[in-house]
Amino acid sequence: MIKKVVIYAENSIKALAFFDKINKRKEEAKKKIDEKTARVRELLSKKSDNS
Amino acid sequence: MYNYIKEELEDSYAYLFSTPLNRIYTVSFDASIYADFLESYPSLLKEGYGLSFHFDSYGIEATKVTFDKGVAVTIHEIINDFLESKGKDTFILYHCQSSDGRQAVRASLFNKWFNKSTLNGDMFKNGLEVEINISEHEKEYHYIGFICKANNRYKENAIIELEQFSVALVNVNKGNFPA
Repeated sequence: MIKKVVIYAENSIKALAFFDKINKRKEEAKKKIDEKTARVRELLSKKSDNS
Repeated sequence: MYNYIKEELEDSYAYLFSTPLNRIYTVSFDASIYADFLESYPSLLKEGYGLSFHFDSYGIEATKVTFDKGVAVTIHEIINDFLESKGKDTFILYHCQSSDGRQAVRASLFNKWFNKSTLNGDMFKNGLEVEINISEHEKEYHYIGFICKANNRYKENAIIELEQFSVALVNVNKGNFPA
């Protein structure tokens, strides 16, 4: 199984752009999930304060 | 292990739990995050869900601890619950968030969580480290991979697909790379 990939300078721009795109995609997904779960998270924090 | 709540959202699933350290953890599974990067990798595309997790602190955060085994066990149980509910041929795809430069810490913690779990034997994890040499003195690391049930029928296909992805990444300037 391949466990490591090493990319050198001439290829780094495209590879970095790929991972940057993934990071942005994940940030957007996190925002959406946070919005959709806001009510449950609030309830959980209140419950924990009372316990 | 901490009690958790599972919430089904429009296009994803979220699991939430709180800890005595005044933290609320959110673990989510989303089929769309990597979908358009996976067109050439049918096993990972067909049954793959992107994994994300993070925590928010509320109130006064209790004294910090370096490793909360309860969090590790709970996240692993959540991953197991998700795989059980979606079927044994499901893949969970991960990429350690790197926008703040802390991806190596995340990867190390994730491995520690995975290795400490009692469910370990029931699951299979295949990870890939990507080292990008930006210049002679500057490197950036990324950690990606997948988790599945040890008896997933398409596990071998997924291993091959991750290898194909590795080769495509090495040949990133030759085209056919999904970026």
